[in-house]
Amino acid sequence: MTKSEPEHMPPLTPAVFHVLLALAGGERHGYAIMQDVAESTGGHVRMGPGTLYGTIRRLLVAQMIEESDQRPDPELDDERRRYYRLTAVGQRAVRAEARRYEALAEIARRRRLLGKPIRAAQMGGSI
Amino acid sequence: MRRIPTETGNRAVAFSGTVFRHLLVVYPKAYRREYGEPMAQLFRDQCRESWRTAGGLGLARLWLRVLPDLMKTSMQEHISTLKERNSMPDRISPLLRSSPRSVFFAVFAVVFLLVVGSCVLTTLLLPDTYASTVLMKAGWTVSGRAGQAEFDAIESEPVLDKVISVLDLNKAWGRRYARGVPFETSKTRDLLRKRIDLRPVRSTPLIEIRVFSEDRDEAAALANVIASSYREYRPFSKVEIVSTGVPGLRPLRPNRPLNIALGVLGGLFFASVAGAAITGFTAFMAKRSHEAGPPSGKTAATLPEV
Repeated sequence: MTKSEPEHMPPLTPAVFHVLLALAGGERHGYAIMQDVAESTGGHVRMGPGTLYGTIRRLLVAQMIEESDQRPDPELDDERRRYYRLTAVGQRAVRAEARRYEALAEIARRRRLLGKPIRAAQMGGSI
Repeated sequence: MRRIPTETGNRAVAFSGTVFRHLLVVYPKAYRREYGEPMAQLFRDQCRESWRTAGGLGLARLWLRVLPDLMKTSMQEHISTLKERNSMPDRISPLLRSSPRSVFFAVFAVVFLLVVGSCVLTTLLLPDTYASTVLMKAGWTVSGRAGQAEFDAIESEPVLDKVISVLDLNKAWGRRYARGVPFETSKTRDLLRKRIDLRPVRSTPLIEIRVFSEDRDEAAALANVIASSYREYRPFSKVEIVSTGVPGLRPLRPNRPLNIALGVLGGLFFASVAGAAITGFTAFMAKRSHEAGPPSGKTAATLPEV
């Protein structure tokens, strides 16, 4: 059993999980995180500036994310933007939470509340 | 639909950004110092996007989403800051260090926005109500007991039941209020009575029949049918219809400008009272803490709740 097993990590709030999921796709600044969350949830979850930066603050304190030293090219983006990335702790936390959701989905599937999962190979793409 | 940024759009985005920046005063000072600028920048980006996609309406929708978020998260951040402090003087020391003026304005801004925001929201959510009036002339001056007898006759079962049957109100209101299940006549009658307002015109033989409805045409139809049913009910009296009811052009309720003006006045009052009370309390605590010596400065070494 590895340290990323669900029982080793505390459950995360939905806002925290969304932010960590967005950062699992790479370094992002605040607005990009917000856009990623909105896109991946089909616009159902729209974070306000207060919720987003409150979550970022808590994640920084918990050392699940860190501020990236890299700054964008001033010609391509606003150099004042702060970029954030996942730390090893954050990686473990988001994996553990995803597994927790997967286990719950499995229970729902066994109770015929959900259909069979669509495999990436069947979809002709990779996740 | 994507919109090309215009002069108006740029001005609206800049104005929204400035207002938002001022509203950040509701957050704890340390939090504001650290995240105020990125939050303002994020909000500006959201404003630009909202304007591009839906113009002024998009911007209004964004504000309606952001204001409750601002209120909720600022309270969370204050609570989280307080939790990180041990003793009472530690907990309120940031307030004690702030000048009375900044404490007053911070409390004032929060209370004012809460009162005005909830007032505007309630006013916008209330359904429109239209009124239509029929003027009837009785053969005598309508006053005292005789006048009350006339009003009772207008609201009597035979008159109202005729109105219900002519306008098929059991079905119509059942469709509107009970998902298509027709109302019992007694229920429709009670509902209809609540929508009628009868008034005598002082020292004249005139009676005003005013009827309210969410539908302007229905209000007029109800007023007219009540008047004609009442005249049929009293065939031997000299009751005449002086003027018929017409659909109202504007809703009678809610009076939005009045409600919002009252909300602003109420907001100013409550915000001033709350601001003065909290400023007085912090001044009192500052005096006590000054007498008791400096705060301990310890912070709780607890892990943050994620």
